Amino acid sequence: MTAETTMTFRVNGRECQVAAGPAERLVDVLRSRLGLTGAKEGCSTGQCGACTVLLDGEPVASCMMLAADAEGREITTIEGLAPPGELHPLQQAFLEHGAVQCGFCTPGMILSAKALLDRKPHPSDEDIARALVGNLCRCTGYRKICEAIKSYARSTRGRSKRVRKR
Amino acid sequence: MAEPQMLQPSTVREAVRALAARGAVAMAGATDLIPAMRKGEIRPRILVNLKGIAGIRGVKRTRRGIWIGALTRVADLLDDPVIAQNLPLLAEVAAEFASPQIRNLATIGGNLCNAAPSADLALPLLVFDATAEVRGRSGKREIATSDFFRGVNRTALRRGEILTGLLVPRPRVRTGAAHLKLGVRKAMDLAFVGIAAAVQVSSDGKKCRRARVALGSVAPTPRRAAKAEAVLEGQVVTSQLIDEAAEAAVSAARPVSDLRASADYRREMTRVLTGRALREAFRRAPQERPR
Ligand SMILES: Cc1cc2nc3c(=O)[nH]c(=O)nc-3n(C[C@H](O)[C@H](O)[C@H](O)COP(=O)(O)OP(=O)(O)OC[C@H]3O[C@@H](n4cnc5c(N)ncnc54)[C@H](O)[C@@H]3O)c2cc1C
Ligand code: FES
Ligand code: FES
Repeated sequence: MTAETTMTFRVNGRECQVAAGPAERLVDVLRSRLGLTGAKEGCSTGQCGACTVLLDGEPVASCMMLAADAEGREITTIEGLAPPGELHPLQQAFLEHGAVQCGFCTPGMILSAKALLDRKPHPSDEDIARALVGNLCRCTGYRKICEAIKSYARSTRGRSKRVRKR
Repeated sequence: MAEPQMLQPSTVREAVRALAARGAVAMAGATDLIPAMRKGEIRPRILVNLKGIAGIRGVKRTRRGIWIGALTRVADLLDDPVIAQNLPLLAEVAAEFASPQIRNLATIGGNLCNAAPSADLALPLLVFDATAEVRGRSGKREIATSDFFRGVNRTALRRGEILTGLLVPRPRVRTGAAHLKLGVRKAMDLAFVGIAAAVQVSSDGKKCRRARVALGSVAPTPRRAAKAEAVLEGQVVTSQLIDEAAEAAVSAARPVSDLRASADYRREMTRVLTGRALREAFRRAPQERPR
């Protein structure tokens, strides 16, 4: 029997203290202890990307990481992209382009795309394909997902220019 | 699964002391450890988390070459300016390694210490004659990467030793290098066959001064193909010579048949890809003095 340890990290902007086993995976702590079921567990082997979350803004497979390793760090799950009841414009773009079918891959897809767009607001098709290699989708055929991301990127063109001028 | 205890040393000395305990296992990015623990292949009593140790992460120029901390993540190799300038092949290999979600966790040290036959980062390190820096209870030692791998998941590390960094001599002038990875998919897949080659040409560009060829996924460990290297060194480079070297590389392959590929296919692809990697390496070798 091993005692649980207390870990502290920020999830979607809020400080969280959780008691969990030292070898508990991040995906388990998020889903079972914090009720954040947006991160899906698909393959449990790091290959499908359904469990993707952002760790300090970078995508990681939460099934391949121990929660204890998130100590002191910032985690973003799909629940944290927009206030409750609202959609982030990137989520809206996925809806409008039919980039969501069963939806199981969607949280991971959107978070991988978000990490790319934060680094590179106007990515090429190649950039998008490379950013999504770790996210499998069995429904959409990927094309609509890429279109959604490109359309979102186009819609921010004016805005990011204005920001730069200031 | 009995829950292991987790220790968080902040120095190499503390880590080495913690690893002396029975059932203690070093942990870096955990991308090999988590699956192994879940399958019950290993049952550590103590996980010694190396990530909190200062000074064994990052890339630096030193007098002896480029130093890469063992805890440097694969993702960090992709956009490190020192790597881009001195060892661009390492960044190329990193770009085809798994996915962003894994590269942001996995470390170069974990890739070597796990010692899979398919360890992608072993190949560029082997062709650049890199040395592994190791620390244990009795102090520091260095191991050539060509002596580091001892079998499937087995390395030259002794009990309680950890890998702290890799020292890569700066590639010599007029050196070109290339890497090829064959898998079903471009990313996110272990290689059926991986090949890296580095060649140094004479100042007139005609002769091969030095050659290094490394093979992955075709033997119990990543390894050099010494016979292929010997075919090339000191000779005038011709298409026929490259074909001979590629043929010689096959003798270093001890492939198995598994669900990814048959042994025969791996042998044949060793020949084909060694030829291609060598041609690309020669093409990339600058003919004149480097700018
Ligand atoms: C989906 C997926 C895709 C993958 N794709 C690839 C791929 O394309 N190419 C490839 O080569 N690999 C791939 N891998 C394997 C794995 O990600 C790599 O081997 C990775 O580099 C391991 O590093 P880590 O830091 O996660 O190691 P860990 O899992 O932390 O450790 C691995 C082993 O090394 C030991 N160890 C780690 N660091 C040290 C150290 N500094 N000193 C002593 N011992 C140490 C540990 O005790 C353990 O035995 C993939 C894995 C997954 C899950
Ligand atoms: S569940 Fe984590 S990658 Fe598939
Ligand atoms: S929408 Fe079903 S898996 Fe992508």
